[in-house]
Amino acid sequence: MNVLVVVRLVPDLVEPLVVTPQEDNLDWEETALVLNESDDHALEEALLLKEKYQARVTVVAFDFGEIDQVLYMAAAKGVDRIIKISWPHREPPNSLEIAETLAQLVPTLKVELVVMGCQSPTEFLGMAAPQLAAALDWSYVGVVRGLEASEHPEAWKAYKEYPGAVLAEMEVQLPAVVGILTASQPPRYVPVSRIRAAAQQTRFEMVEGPRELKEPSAAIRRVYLTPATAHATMLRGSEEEVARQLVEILLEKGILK
Amino acid sequence: MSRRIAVPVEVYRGQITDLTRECLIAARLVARDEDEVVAYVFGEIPDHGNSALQLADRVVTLENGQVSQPVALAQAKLLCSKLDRKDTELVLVGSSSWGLDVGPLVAAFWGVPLVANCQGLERRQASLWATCRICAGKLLVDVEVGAQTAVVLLLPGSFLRKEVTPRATQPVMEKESVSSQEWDARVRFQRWIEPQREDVDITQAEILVAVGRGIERQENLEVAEELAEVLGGVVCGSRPVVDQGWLPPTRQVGKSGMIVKPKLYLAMGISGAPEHVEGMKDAELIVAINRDERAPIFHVAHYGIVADLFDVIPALKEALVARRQEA
Repeated sequence: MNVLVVVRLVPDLVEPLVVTPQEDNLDWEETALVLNESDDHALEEALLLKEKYQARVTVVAFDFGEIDQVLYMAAAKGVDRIIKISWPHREPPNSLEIAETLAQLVPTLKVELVVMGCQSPTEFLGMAAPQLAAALDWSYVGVVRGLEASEHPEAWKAYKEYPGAVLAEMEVQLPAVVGILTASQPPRYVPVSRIRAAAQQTRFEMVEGPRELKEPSAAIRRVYLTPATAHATMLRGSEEEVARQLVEILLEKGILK
Repeated sequence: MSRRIAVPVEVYRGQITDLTRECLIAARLVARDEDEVVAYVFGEIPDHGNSALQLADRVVTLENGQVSQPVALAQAKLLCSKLDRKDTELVLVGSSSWGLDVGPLVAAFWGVPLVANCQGLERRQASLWATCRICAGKLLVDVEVGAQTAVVLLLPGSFLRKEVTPRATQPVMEKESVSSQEWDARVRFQRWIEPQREDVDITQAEILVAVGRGIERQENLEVAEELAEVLGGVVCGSRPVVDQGWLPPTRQVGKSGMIVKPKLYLAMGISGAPEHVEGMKDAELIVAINRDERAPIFHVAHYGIVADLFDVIPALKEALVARRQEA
């Protein structure tokens, strides 16, 4: 089976976010980017499929920011093929641009399964994974924690997460797009030395992405940092002082007896 | 011109979800007098489901043997075939595990905008505006949807406490049969898998010590466990900690984890993403410790401490032990 993994860079939410002075977008030049967490899990799930079922794994990404580092990491982890889509634009592709571009590319790759994060932190106009499935007219299940072979050769089992740590076992007929939330196991660690070695040896296949971008499907009027509508009462002082204050509060509230 | 606001009804474990009720409240609030709010139920209406559905003008029950199964692909296709896109202004779906599949698929099948992570929705003259919360709640985006047909994914907790004027009349109840040809069978529901319950039930704990990404390493969980022991509580965590396999899924608090309402929720190194807040916002007392003073967790916490959790925990443990000895 041939599996395609889509990986995306997204803002590093540990770092402060900066909005443009016009409040119309994130200031992408000031925004640190990291691999989308659920895409990292999708990559891990694809590697597990390779190990368990001899799947051939291709990774695809848009050429934005320091995506090469992510792709070298994927190479070091053992993917079979890496494709980079050119992206000569000032901001990363949005969900619809990803879905539309991949809907053109995927039929040329002879893959039966696309796995990618079921969402990314910047998605608000569109969601790439389900919209790619719809564009391809493929099966879709999202919010998935792990995949397994089914007794039916043309289908896979996907475990969809529900509240209360409950899973729904779904049988998904191929070809399919699966939106991964979490892999069956945590993403594997790969030593920096192996990533460096992969950077020396890996060659990316390049595919041309769209040169012209469409207008967004709805008008973005303002982008801004979330104002504090309510805020905690802050305890201040040394660690010992805040600890003492907190113990007093817990006593006062009847939590400590 | 009269238009339809459609709300696909999510039934989970035999009950209409609170999030569906929120969608119906939001629909009522943005509907004009001439608009119609229509709830679409896949399969039979559950017992006790009527109070939420009272918010609709019309309730359409789609019936055959399969439609109640939670298969978003088939249900989204069915919805698109039963609804006239031109007459529909808005499809409002809750941002749940089910809704995150149904909403985007409906938008994609119809080729209309999908507005995700929506926490606010209002009508300004002829145009609908949405406010979306993204980047783990750190950023807001105001979007003018306009008058075009759109699908909106509503975040939980956005409309639950908003008041709507009760409708004077009962909703019109309709049934529509679904043929087997109308049901997309490429995805099939097989079974529910319940979590293994040999672990503690965090929904019953009165004191929860919750750890997030700030705990950094599995070995560091020990400091949280020691604090929980002194407090007489239980350790739980946010999604990143569970995803790393450091805690079992039964200890995850949030949208796809557990909904908890303890007397004390001590959030340590948790940023406060909406998915996590959904699971703990109703705790009686929330105390947050985070190095980032802008962390959204401070918007829901009653008390906050901007500090490194590894500095505060030992001091807190010491103060608790000292207090116990004094008593």
